[in-house]
Formats: sequence, C-alpha cells, structure tokens
Amino acid sequence: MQEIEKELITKAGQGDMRAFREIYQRVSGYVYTLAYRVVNTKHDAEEVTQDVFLKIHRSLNSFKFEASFKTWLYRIAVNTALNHAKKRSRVTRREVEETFEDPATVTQPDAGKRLEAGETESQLKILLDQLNPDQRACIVLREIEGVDYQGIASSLGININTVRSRLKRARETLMVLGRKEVASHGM
Amino acid sequence: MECKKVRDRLITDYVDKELGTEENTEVGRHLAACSGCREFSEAVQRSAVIPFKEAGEMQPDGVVWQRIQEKIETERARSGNWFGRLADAWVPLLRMPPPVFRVAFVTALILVVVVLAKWPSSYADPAYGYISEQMTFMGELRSGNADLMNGDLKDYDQMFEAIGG
Ligand SMILES: [Zn+2]
Repeated sequence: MQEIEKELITKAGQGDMRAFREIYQRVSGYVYTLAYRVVNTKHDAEEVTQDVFLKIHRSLNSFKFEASFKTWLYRIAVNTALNHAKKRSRVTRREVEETFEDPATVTQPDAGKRLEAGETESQLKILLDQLNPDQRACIVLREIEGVDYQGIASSLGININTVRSRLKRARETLMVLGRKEVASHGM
Repeated sequence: MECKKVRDRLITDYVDKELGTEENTEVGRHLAACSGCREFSEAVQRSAVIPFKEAGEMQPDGVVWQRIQEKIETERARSGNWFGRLADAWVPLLRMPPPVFRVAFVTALILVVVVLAKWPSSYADPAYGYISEQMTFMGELRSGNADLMNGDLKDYDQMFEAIGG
C-alpha cells in the first residue's frame, strides 16, 4: 500500500466526500485483504471493510500525522477484524460461508496466472482456517504485513511474550497440517 | 544449546529475525552441526512461512463502497437534526460502566416508589405518565439490551441499532 498524502487526508477529514472516495479507492484493497485474512470469509471481510471505513471517516479529522497513515489503518483494520471474528465465533461457527471465494477477484497483473492465484488463495484459506482469530491476526501481521513483535504487541494491546506464544502455536499447527499434506501426497 | 531450546527459537525469534546477534550466531552454529534441527527449520519455512509469501491483494465488491456512502449520509442526516442530537446525548449514559448504571437505576426506582407511595391519588397526574415512560425505557435498556452494558459495543452505530434508532 502506498502512503496517502497529508493534503488528501486533511480534505477528507473536513468532509470532502471526493477526497474520501479517493482514499477508499487507494486503500480498500489493502483493508479488505487484511480483513479477509483474519475473518476468512468474503461476507465478514466486507462487513469489516465497511466498519473500518466508517471509523476512519469519523476520526480522520482527528488524525495527528504522528504515526504513518498505514500504521493507523492496519491497526484499526486488524482490531475491527479481530473483534468481528471473535464475536462471530461466539455466535455460530461456520454457517455463513463454506465455499471458497471466486479466485478471479484476486488482483494479478498476468491473467494467465489467475488459476495459480486461485490455488494460492484456497491454500491460504485452508491454512488460516486451522488457526483461531488471535493466532490469525498475529500471523497476518507478521507474515503478510511484515510487522515486528513490538509492532504486533502494540497494535493488538498484548505483550511480546503473548505475540511469541501465539506465533509459536500457530506455526506448530501449520506444521502438523504440512506433515499431513506431505503424507497424503505420498512424498 | 539443546535441540529443544534451539527449535523454540527456530519457530519464533530466529525465523522472525528478533534474536540478538550473539544468540543468532549460536543458533546458526547449532544448525550447521545438527541435521535434525536443520530439517525442523526447513519444515517451518515450508509449512508456515513460504505459503504466505505469495499472498495477493484482493478487491472488495463495488457494493461495499455503496453501503459505506449510504451509512455516511445517514450519519450526516442524523447529526443535522435535533432528534439525532438528542439521541447522541443518550450515548454517554449508555457508556457508563454497569455498576454505576445499576446504582443509578436503583436510586431512580426507589425515588419513584417513594413518590408514588406518598401520592396515591395522583395516578392521573401528567408526571406519572412521564415517569412511567422513563421507567419502561430504562427497563428495556436493562433487559433486552444486556449487550449495551457489558462494554462490548463501542460503536455509536451499533448502539443506535441496539436501541432501535
Ligand atoms: Zn538440534
């Protein structure tokens, strides 16, 4: 995700809907993908994306430019997604969507690679499905966003040891799954 | 360093580049000498690191922006009229932590009971209608909308949905 210029943020914060739309167009893919990785269904990712942009709209005028816009954004996004996922798993497990989403919605510059991208997406979904929402949030911030332990800890309001143990559990689970896959392919 | 301790690092701080130089070198030396831990390290990469490296970016459907726009317009309309502002005035009350709210409710209840007891013939009084209306409202907040009290809802929007606004 590219950084958003100060001027555009200020304009949108003053209620300029065109400026806000411009911000949406530039970062909605980033927010949606981050949300999708944590909640792991299209429907929930859409709801989270909507909530995130409403929160942003309400608080843009108080954005202080001390932190980068991106950091501010992924913090709001990951926490909104995490709360949503926790609420969802409390209410019902897996009744909204069982099917994989259309792989064609994955942005890939080369159309010929779409099938591969679809496979990667399905694979990622299977992997992330093995983890609980807390573990998913840590893995997503670490592996996909490249955030370090300190950054993950302060984003999620937990301590570094908790980050470490969640990553450890998550990876152990993924390794068990990896071993099963290798066994089932006879390799 | 023992294999177990090395593997604890391999699956967390080592792979995430969070180790200090000294410990990093120590783990590296162990890896060079121990094939079991090398295999473990490769398995971490294969199953828990590499799959995420190819993650692409997805785009939300166009309908998401439409919904956002509609919600923003509703919010603007709400803050533009007196009823919306009145509704906003209730929000701080709903944000109160449960014990405070309960004490306030019980105090109000006792007050009303005392007033009614001292005023047995005043049921036709307009004040009674007003008080009973407030009581019903408070009661609804307490019974039907327990979620409002547990500090779970932080969004104005969710609150308004919950109180039917
Ligand atoms: Zn070893």
